[in-house]
Amino acid sequence: MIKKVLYLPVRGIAMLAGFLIVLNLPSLVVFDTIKKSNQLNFSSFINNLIISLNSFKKMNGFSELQVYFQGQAIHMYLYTLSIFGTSLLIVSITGLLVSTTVIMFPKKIRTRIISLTEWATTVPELLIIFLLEYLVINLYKTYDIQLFKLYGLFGAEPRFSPIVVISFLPTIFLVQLMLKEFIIEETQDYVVFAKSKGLTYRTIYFKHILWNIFPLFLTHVRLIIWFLLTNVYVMEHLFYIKGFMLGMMNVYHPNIGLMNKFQTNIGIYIFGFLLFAIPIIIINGLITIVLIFLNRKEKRDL
Amino acid sequence: MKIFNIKIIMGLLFITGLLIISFLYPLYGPGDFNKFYFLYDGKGNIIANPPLPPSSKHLLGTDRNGEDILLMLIYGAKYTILVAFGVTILRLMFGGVLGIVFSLWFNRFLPILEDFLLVFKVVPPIIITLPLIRGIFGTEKTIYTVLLYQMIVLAIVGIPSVLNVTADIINKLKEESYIHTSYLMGGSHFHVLKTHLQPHLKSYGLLIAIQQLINTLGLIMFLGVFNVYIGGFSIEEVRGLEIPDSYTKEWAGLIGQNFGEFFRTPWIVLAPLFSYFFLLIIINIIKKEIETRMDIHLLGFNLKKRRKKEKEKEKPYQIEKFISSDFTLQGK
Repeated sequence: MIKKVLYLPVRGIAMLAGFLIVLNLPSLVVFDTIKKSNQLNFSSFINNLIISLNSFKKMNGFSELQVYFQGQAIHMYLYTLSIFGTSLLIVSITGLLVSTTVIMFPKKIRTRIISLTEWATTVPELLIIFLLEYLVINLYKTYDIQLFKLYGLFGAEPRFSPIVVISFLPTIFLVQLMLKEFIIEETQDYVVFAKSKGLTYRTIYFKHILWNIFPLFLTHVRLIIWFLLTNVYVMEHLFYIKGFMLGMMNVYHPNIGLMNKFQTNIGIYIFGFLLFAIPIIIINGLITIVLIFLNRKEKRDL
Repeated sequence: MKIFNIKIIMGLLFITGLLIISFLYPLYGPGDFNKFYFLYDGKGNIIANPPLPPSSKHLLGTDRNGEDILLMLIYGAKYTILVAFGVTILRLMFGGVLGIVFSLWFNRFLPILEDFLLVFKVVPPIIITLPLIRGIFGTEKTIYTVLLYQMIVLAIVGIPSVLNVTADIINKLKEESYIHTSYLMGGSHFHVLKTHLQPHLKSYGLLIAIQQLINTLGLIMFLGVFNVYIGGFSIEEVRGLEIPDSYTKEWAGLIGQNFGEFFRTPWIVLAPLFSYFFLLIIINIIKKEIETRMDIHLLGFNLKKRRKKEKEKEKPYQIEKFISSDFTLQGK
């Protein structure tokens, strides 16, 4: 126990070093326009590292951060969080419902649906976005029905379309993972015993298998969060939504020419980053607590 | 051998065929992809200007600059496929070797290394890649340096995950009893790696490689949406819009630069989008075939046992006839 506590500062330093080095990597490679080649510029890289470290100590750019937060920042942050949180809930609940429904079907239909989900996960995200935009705009043009707002221009804040687009593929992925877990669990001894004793399929699946699988479900949800964040970021760019991601990138990366400003404000960049990481950390923490509480199958060969 | 399966061979043949056609393009294809500004009829009157929909002359239509889309797709295929394969190989080489070295020889430093690389675990790859890959602007003359830089950035972003997976696999394998015995009998790390771990790592490595290939293709597609094209921009912008034009015409760049065209001229974006989708499907077919052949617990059953059962079913039990047709007993 004491060893772990003493080890924490070392871990903190390692994490901070990782952050700083990755964020300063662009200055390592210098593009020489005369020789037209890439060169590794170690001296400027180390210089920038020291500048970043100093700015982190002095907390440079604190006044800019205050100005940023007095403006639209908190509203944009909560807007992004609402989209992300709703999508996560929808993905988890829909995934669980669909997988439990599908597992009750006869075996032939079940295997067909499983192969269908495997193909569905190969669909690129952009195809889904394309089809949705095409559908909505075509409907509006031919029948004058506006299904829902697509874009975030002129102060509009669409919620439905981003959530649908963000949640679609992760739901199918979660359904696929859950179906595989169900089928692996079916080969266990207690299921064969329960069947031989004459229990109905519904009792076996919903009373026994589902609760044994639940910790694995939470582990898969952790994986889904990553996909959701990527989708949120791409969505905000494509639909011109003024969310936290776009705002953060604009404040801290307005221009390549202002790289010096970026280096000196590394402290606020890391702070903005932490804000972005807060939902992940909270959800991960909750899942860990629930797993410890359930105390079953924490480690499983993935 | 595992790989001799008809689906895998067909998939690999298709990708190789596409690469060869793409490399041979300068021999048979026009350098400017049949670019035109106006379409004239026989008498010299202007009847249309690009973009043109698919027709018998332009099989997939033309884009806004008048370039034939089918020719652009063929030309850009080699960049997409080679960059994806190159990045995968780089990731596997560096990530795999580092994972093996750290999990066998420097096992004590593995937790610190994983904390150091926590950035890549917490943040999705697109968010890290974008600022790094935007740090360079290229023009037509410097295409190969731009390509090299972009491949290095894409490889760096994926190395930590390969490292983690390799280290996890080796740590799990090290718990087996035969490896414990090998160490007890005086085997070195290198001996254990060469004799015991190598077959496992070969099969897992192939799967990890294909998974990283799929991830790379997805990441490149997202980058295209943000107007970051593999190979940089060409001097001429897309006519009529202020969007930079892709120089190498690789598929993700074609999707990304034309994504806004989906309603006015959908064929410009549909063709590269469906080609990309087709490429992903083929790679997924190969991955699925390799997984089932490796007898990994896919769908919860073991393929070898299933095959044995099927073979046993083919030999039905034959009742020996003791009585002939005229009801007299017969010996064997």
